[in-house]
Amino acid sequence: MKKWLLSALSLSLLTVLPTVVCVAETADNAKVAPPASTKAPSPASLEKTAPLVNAKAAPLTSRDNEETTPVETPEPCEGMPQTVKVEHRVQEFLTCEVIQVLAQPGSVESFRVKPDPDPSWPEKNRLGDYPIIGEAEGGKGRNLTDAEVKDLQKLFFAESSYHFGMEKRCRFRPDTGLHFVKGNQSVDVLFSFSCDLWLFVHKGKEKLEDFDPVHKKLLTLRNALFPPETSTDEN
Amino acid sequence: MKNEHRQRKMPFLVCLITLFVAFPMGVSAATLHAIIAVDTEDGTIGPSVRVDLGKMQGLVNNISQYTGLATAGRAISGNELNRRNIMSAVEGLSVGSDDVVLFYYAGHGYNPSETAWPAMNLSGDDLPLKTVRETLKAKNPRLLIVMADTCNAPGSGGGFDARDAGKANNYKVLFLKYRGTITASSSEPGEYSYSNATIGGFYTNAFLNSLTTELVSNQTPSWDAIMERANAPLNNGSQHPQAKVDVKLIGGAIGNNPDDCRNPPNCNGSPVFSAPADNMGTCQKRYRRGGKKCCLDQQGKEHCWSLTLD
Repeated sequence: MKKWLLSALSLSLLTVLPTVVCVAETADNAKVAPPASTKAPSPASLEKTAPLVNAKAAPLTSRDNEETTPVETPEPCEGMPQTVKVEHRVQEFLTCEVIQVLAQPGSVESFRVKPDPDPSWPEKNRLGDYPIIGEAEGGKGRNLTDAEVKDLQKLFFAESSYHFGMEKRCRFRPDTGLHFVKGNQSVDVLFSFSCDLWLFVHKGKEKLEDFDPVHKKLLTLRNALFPPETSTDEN
Repeated sequence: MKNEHRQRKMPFLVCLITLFVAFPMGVSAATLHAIIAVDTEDGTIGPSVRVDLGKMQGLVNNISQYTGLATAGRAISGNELNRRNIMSAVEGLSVGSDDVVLFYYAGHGYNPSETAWPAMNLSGDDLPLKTVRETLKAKNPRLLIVMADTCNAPGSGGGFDARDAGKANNYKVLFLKYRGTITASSSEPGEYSYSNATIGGFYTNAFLNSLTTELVSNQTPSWDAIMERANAPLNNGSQHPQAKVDVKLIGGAIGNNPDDCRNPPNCNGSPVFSAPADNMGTCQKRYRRGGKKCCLDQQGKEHCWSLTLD
């Protein structure tokens, strides 16, 4: 009798245990963000890179992931020209500090960048965390014209240029970047055409969003700055 | 005399208890192997992927509860998410001939060209969805479901609620009475896959809603119907899920009419839904060549895919 009970109990335990173990395994997975790949630049490539005017600190955060919730209309940013209209959702996303630089830049430089971040590069040789490709390899483009800047500002400041409240499941791997300078302030804007994402970097803080609706317009600008035959194919 | 009678009955009772524990609901000795690989800690999509993880775990629990399938689950997430760990879990599966295998991936992805299915964009080496499917298929499970909610574009790289349980009978039909392979991804070649932190992946949500519709149905549930409904365009028509459904109903359905098949041409065949359409997201020029659909991306690089799902 005891033997029967004992064997039944053992069998039951043997049958139940695997399921219990599996459930525990599912619940206890540790979660740590994977580290960014780091590649040290060669001294030769450092010499060739185009130096930047304003140094930038390491980025802190990634994407605007918060839900889109209706909020009160924000006050327009100070010191903005009457002709520049920034839609409310865009103002919340970019913040006035960034908008003030994007709206009235003294100059806008263009660069080709490596698709993987590498904070070990000197700040003057990267946009955000993304190393600038050497000048000899076509990494430095021309400055944007006034007309190009105006067109770009219209795209930056229109809510319809973005996909707020959702994200895409492909990685941000930029190939082109712009450096907006206004006095001692600067904003970097990086473009990932393989995932239609743009990243705004100001004082080390990153803001990532989709630009799907204006893909073609940005591509036209990119191709004007860096004609396709000289563009990288690293994405 | 009474004691003698009790002692004679005891082994029978012990056997019954053992059987009940070993085979809950007295339905099946088969196992549901679930491998859920999810990029929960990504700075961009992590919140939406965590929503997907919760939903898929709810689904696995429900399947087990209503079919009696034993569960052997493994979630690979966070810094454990890499090719080596996924392939180790996939290759390490010991699959019986009556088992069900579910592989689900939510994270970054891209299309590596030459196939309609995406590759998982993992830290370190990437992993094509097709590699996972072929490895699992070689183990001959009765039913294999391989799906990915991820981008499928060229480059380098209020939904389902576990309480919406559906009918136990419908779970049994779908997971105990079907044989074959289902391969699915959230977008066609050249397209992105979208998500948000509220509902998770748009495709995962659509798939689970479609599955729920079938689970609560009074008709015999059908994988063809589930995948066809789940393939409806998403995000204002910019995302087209795709699925290859190569399954058939085996034996008699449980409690329902086994001949009740709502997609007669697809009942015994291998329907292919949603072949690549003419809307590749990052393609600048589209054309067909040698039985394949091709596109030139903005850098002039050519990408080609088979017109039928491989």
